Amino acid sequence: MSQPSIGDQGFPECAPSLIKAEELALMEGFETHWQLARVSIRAYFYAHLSNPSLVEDCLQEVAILAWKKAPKDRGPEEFLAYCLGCAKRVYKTCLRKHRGGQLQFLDPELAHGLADLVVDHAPPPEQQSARLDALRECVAGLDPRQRELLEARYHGRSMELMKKAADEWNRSLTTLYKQLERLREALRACVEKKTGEVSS
Amino acid sequence: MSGENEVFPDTELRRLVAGHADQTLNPVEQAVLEARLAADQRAREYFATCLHFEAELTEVMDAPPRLQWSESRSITKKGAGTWEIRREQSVRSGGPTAMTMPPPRALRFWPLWLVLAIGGPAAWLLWPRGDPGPQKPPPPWSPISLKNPGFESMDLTYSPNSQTNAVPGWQDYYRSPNVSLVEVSRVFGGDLAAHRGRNATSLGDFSYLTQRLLHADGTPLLATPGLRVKVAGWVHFVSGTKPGLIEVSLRYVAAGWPEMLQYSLGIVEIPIGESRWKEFSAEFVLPQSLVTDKGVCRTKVDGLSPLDVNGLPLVLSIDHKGRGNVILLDDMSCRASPP
Repeated sequence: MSQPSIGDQGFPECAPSLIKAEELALMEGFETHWQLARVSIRAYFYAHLSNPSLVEDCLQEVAILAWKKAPKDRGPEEFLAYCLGCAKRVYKTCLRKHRGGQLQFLDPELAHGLADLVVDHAPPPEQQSARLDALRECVAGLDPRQRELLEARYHGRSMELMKKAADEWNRSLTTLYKQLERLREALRACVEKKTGEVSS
Repeated sequence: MSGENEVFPDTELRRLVAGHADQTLNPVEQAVLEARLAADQRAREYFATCLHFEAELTEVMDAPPRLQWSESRSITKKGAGTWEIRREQSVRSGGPTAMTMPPPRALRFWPLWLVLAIGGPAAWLLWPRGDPGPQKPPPPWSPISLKNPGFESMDLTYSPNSQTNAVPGWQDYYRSPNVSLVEVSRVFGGDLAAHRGRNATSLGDFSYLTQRLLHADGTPLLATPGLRVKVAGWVHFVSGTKPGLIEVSLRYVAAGWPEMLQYSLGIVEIPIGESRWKEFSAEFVLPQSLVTDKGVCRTKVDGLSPLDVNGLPLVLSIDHKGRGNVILLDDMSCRASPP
C-alpha cells in the first residue's frame, strides 16, 4: 500500500502520531534538565510559600516558562540559573495575585533571605542527581512501616493521609510526626554517607 | 551554660524546623522559630539545608517524572498540491494540582460571661433612648448567582495557545467577536496573572459580554421600580494607545441577533487606563416608571418603540467601547436589593 502524498486525498507526511527525532531529543533534554532543576526551584518556593498546592502551581508555571524560553542546549547550570530567575518572577506574580491571603509562613524579609540561602546552597546538577539517587536507595532500604509513613506524609498535600495512618496504627498524630522527624534526620545522614558529604 | 559543648542544631530548633515542614507549629512556636532564624545565621543555614532536603524528599516520594507534550496541527488543503500546516505545542510537567488555599482562621470563641460583662453595659450606654423617628433600614443586598463569575469554568491547561473564543455563561444572547477567555499567566509569559484563579476574559475592539441575571434559586431577576443592582469586578488595561472605556449596563433584551433590540435601564461608564488590576463597581437604581424607549438596536433606523419593561427579565451587559486597546476582566460579582 502506498503512502498518501501531499496533494492527494490523504493527510500529508506530518501525521500527528509522528514526532521527529530532534523533537524527541529536545523533550528528553528538557526533562533531564528540569528533573534536576525542579528540586532547587521547589526549595526556593518552600522558603516563601506556606501552601504545598500553591508551590506545585508555581512550579508548573516555571516549567512552562522554562519549556518556552530556557536554554535547553547549553548545559544544566545555565538551565537552572534561568529557572531560578523565572521562579523569582513567578513568585512575585503569585504574591500580587494572592495579596492579603495567608500565603506566607515567615516574615517576608526573612523568607527572602532564606530563599537566597537556599539558592546559594543548591548543589550543582551532577551532585543533585547523585543526591537524589542516594536518597532513593536510602528510602528503598527503609522497613515497610517507615516507607508507609513517608508515603502518608508526602503523597497528597493535606494531613488527611497522616490522620488515616494514625487511626490505622492506633498512634497519635504527634507520635507520627515525631517519628517522621527522626526518619528525615536518618535519611539525611544516609544521603550524606552515601555521597561522602560532610554533615553541617 | 551554653558554650563549647553546645550541640547544634539543638533539639528545639530541630523540632521547630520539622514542625514548619509539616505545618504543625502553633503561632507561638512559629514566632519562636522566626525569632531564632532572625537572630542566628547558623539557624538560617540549617533551615535552608532542611528546606532543600524537604524538596528532595518530595521529589523522590511524590513528584511523578512525567512530561506531557500537547501538540495540535491544523492541516488545510489550499489547492492542488498545496497544503497549509500550522502547528502549536505546549508542555506540562507533573500532574495538574487543585489549588487549595488554607481556610481562614477561626474566630476566637469568647466566653459568654465575658461577652455579657462587656457588651451588656456598653449596649445599655449606647442604646438610643430618644425617638429617632421612623427610619426604615434599606433592604439587604442578596447575591445574584452569576454564571462563571471568575471565568474559571473552563480549564485551558491543555489549550495549545491558552485561549479560546468561548466564554461560558457570558454569551447568553450574543456572541461577540474580539472576546476571548485566556489563561493569563501563560498568555503573558508569566508577566501578568489573573486577578483570581488562572483565567480572565480579554475584551478587544467593540466587544461585549451578556448574561441573564438570576437569583440564587435560579429564577430570573425581574425589572421592578426601585430595584437596586450592584455589579463589581476587576479590570486591567493591557495594551493600547489611548485609555479604554467599558460600559456596564442593565438591559432587557427584546430580540436577539440580527435585530438586537435591547432596552436599557441604566448605564455606568468605567474609564480604564491603568496597567494593573483595578476594582470597579457600578450601582443601578431602577426608576419608578419603567416605560422606556432608550436602548440599542441594530436594524431599526427610527429607534425603539416605547415598552414597559416592568416584570421583564434583566440582562447584564458589559461593552468595551473602543478601538485599538485590550482590557482584561476578572472576578465579577453582582448583588441586588429589592425596592
